[in-house]
Amino acid sequence: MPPETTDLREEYTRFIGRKILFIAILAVLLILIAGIATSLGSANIPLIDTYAAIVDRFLPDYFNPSNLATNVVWNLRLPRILMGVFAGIGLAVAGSAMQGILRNPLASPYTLGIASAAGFGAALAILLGKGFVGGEYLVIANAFIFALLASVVIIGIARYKGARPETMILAGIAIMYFFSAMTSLLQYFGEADAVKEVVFWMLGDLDRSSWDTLGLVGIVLVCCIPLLILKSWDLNVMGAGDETAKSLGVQVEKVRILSMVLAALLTASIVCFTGTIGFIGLVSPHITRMAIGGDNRFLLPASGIVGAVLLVGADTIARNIIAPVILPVGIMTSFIGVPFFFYLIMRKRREYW
Amino acid sequence: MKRFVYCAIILIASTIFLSCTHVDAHDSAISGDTNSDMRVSESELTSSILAYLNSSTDRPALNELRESARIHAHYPRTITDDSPDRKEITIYQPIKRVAVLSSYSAEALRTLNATDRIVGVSDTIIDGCPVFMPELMDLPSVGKSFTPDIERILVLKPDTVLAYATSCPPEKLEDKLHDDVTVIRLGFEKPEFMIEDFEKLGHLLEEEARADEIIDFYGGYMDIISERVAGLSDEEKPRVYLEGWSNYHTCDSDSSFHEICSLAGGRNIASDIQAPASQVDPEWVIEQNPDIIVKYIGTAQGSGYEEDDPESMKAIREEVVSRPELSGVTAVQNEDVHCIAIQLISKPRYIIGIAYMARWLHPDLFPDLDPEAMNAEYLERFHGMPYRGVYVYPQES
Repeated sequence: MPPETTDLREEYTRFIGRKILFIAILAVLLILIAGIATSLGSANIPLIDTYAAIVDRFLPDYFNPSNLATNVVWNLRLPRILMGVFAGIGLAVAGSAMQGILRNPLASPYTLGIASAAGFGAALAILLGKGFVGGEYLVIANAFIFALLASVVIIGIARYKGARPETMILAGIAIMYFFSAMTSLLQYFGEADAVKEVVFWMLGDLDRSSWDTLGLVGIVLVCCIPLLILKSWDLNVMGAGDETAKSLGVQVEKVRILSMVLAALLTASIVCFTGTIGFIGLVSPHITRMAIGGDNRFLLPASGIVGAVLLVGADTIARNIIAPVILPVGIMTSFIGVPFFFYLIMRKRREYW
Repeated sequence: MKRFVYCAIILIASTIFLSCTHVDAHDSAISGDTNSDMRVSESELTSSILAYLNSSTDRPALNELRESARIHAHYPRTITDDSPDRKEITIYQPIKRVAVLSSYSAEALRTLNATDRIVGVSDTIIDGCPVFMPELMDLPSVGKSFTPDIERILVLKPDTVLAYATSCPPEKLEDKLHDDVTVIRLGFEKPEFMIEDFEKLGHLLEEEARADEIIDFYGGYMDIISERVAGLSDEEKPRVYLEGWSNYHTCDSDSSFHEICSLAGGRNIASDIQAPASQVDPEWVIEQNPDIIVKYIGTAQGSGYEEDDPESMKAIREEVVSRPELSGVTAVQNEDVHCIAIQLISKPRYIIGIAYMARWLHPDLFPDLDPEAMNAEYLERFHGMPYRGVYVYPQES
């Protein structure tokens, strides 16, 4: 019956429209929060001066911001805030992808041991000064390589055993415990100050952001996220079970391993600069799913923006709440995210997965 | 028959038990103390001497007699240590076997000519100073400073354990050791304890003269510095940003680094911050605009007696100077950025750290102060070690 078909199509368009609207509103919110974050900090720079400093870079000669404002805004606040945006997007997208691939609401870059492997790499560099490259990139390179190493092991096991979600999750948890134990062992024998530095590294912060690191993270985001979104149809189908997906022509194992590689690469390249910022990768996908449902085509980008909003918001509070002391953002994300998350769980009566 | 076996087992077990306790009691017994009051009274000493002269069957050996006389004349000795509850420590006979957990105390023991009484050291000491204290490297380990291996300590039969003032709680140490092992907690962690701790340790070791020497060395320089700094008004004291191991981790007013800075006539910009080892906002540092930046460098980062290549210290200093956000800060513009080895701001070497700091903060007030020569004097005179190592960057020309 033709009329009914039109109705369905209209309804579908409305449905999609709502999701796109959600993403658009979030994007505006993100820009707003980033804007507010730029104007807040220990150096009491007047609001006008902050924005003058930003605009001045593109349209010189019109405004005359103070040197202090230009310095603070361009060398400290903008790299930090943009790193917050990038890291939030990357971790949340990686989390969504992993939850989709593994069909498990608890999957995140952290439950799969990638973060604890990165932590071990960093600890090795900080405590023993040993790593794959020397100099100032020692810690970063070590964290990155160990994070990838953990993913390679998980993916290797998955390939060998047929890429079933349970295998990957169990392997990930085993890896997590292994690297946590290795890190504890190193800490146990470490010099007190160095151990403290490892602890701070593990808490995760955006303190080490600079334009160079932003560039590197940006490249990884631009390469990985579009590829993941391209695979989101396949992920949707895989949500109905491996057999169904296979019968519909999806190469389940190939998609699963490719997506894992991309998600792992995203996580590793962010975590090595920020340390282990937990929670974002686990919770942003859930928040988004509660708002717009589980369609991965929209879930991936939307949860990315949710992650960015959460992380930038949390970092702004962490920077200002007891200034000039900066709380590690990893602590703050949980303080802000958990109550909000609880609220959503309590309010939604229907199944949220 | 069965009953007989049980009886025999009980008998053997109790004999072993009793003989063990007996041995223990004998170990801690004080030579010449017949009434077990832990002291050698005049009459006890007299009767020992008479027994020796009478050549009776239970005649004491001559060295035992000497020991009794020494204990009678010089013991007991009492101090209060630096544990949180200021425990009173009394020793009734000379300290002969010491297990050392704290590397600070190991350094102090060598200064007080007591290295030969050390029977065991913690891993921290073994790992931390192979070049500085080579004579300790072959001693048995007693585990980590903060989690000592009690069994290893007991095997070494020490009479004394020297521990940190607060680290490693009594549950892990005192409560597990016999009463005949005295645990002494000395807090060489902070400059304020330095002089009294050398007095206490010198008294316990009967090395008062040597303790006076190091106290004179320490106090002499301290007096010079505090005298010249005393006249300064707050405005004349430069504002200092102290940085710890990692970037933008500063040292608050509880830290020894802060204390060293104040003693040398500087104002720590973070003195009002109430968070230990806290990470601060770089913006705040820029706004505070410190006159001088001093960063301490850990031993593992390439500083101290064990190191002879200044490269890594130089690289760390260059990283601070080249931080783009700090380019406008007075300290960076005047190139007044200094790195100092952690060994000079912890341990009994504070005074040298204070001297370096004083020279950086007030070059006009201290033209005659030569911290490097002080360090060399300290190492040669109080440790018998040749001067070497990497302690500050940049070096003074």
